[in-house]
Amino acid sequence: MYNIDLKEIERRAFRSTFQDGIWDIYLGLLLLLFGIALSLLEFGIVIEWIGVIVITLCLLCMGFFIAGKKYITVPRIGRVTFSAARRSKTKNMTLLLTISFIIGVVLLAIRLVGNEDLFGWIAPVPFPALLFSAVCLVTFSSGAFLLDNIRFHLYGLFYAFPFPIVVILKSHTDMIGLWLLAYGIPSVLMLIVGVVLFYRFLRDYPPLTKEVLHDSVH
Amino acid sequence: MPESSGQSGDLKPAAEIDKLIHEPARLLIMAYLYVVESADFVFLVRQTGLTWGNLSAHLSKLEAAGYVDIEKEFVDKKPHTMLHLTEEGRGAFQVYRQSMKQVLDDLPD
Repeated sequence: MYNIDLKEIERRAFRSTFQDGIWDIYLGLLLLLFGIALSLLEFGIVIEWIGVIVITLCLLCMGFFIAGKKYITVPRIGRVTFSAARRSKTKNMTLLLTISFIIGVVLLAIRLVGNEDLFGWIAPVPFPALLFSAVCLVTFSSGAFLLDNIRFHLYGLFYAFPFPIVVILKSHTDMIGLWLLAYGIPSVLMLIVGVVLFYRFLRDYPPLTKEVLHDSVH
Repeated sequence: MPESSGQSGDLKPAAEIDKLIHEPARLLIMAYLYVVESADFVFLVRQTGLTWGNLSAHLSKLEAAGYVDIEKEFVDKKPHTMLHLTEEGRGAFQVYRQSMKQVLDDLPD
């Protein structure tokens, strides 16, 4: 009891804010969105419409994330402000995710308008695909470190590999639905992990009832 | 009386242990508030496993000692209570840790 590991206490408290599965569901939905966008292009949907669909779904995903944290997580586990050092880490993570998201969108746009030659080609995988994979791996590994969340390493692989794999396969086959398949499988796995964590979170952290909130027996 | 004075010298760190913090539940509360900047009641209930009433009673004692500051604020137009350690509380917790470490280090093998 008296051999208190304060670092471990802080880490445990911080990790508890990530056990709701909402990050997993959010990132899974975004990955699925990549697959849907590229598949729509494959199925001949006009690029303007794809843009509208992607932006709308992206906003819905963000809405789910913000609402989930605000109305489900915080009322159940409480409100906390971590130390300045921890807040700085989280800010860096947010910045990193934002930059990588912008890079991802730019690369996706380049892919959608078919202007892949912009970056030149490194056979057999185009440079944008390699860059996208590298950005994903660096971002998610940094995320795993900054957020003390080991699952992010795996998610980095899930985000990094579909793009170059499909680009390579596309040079050998004209099979339709490759994008959806390549992005769909990892995103569904992420969604399953997220939903399981979310279920556990709801089970383990029921909302505090008025009786509990006003309990003054002890 | 060299023996007794020596004994009292050895026991001095133990005698200086802050009894208010030494109670296990309060020690846990202080430890959680020490590692964060501020937290609300719900967060402490979840992290410490204490009941609401128990937590409330211990926090009242810590507040009375000047170790914990209880701040009322509004979040989304609803009243909300946030708790944080005062400078005095942080200092007391650091002294407590040092004292406990010394007491435990001084124990014979």
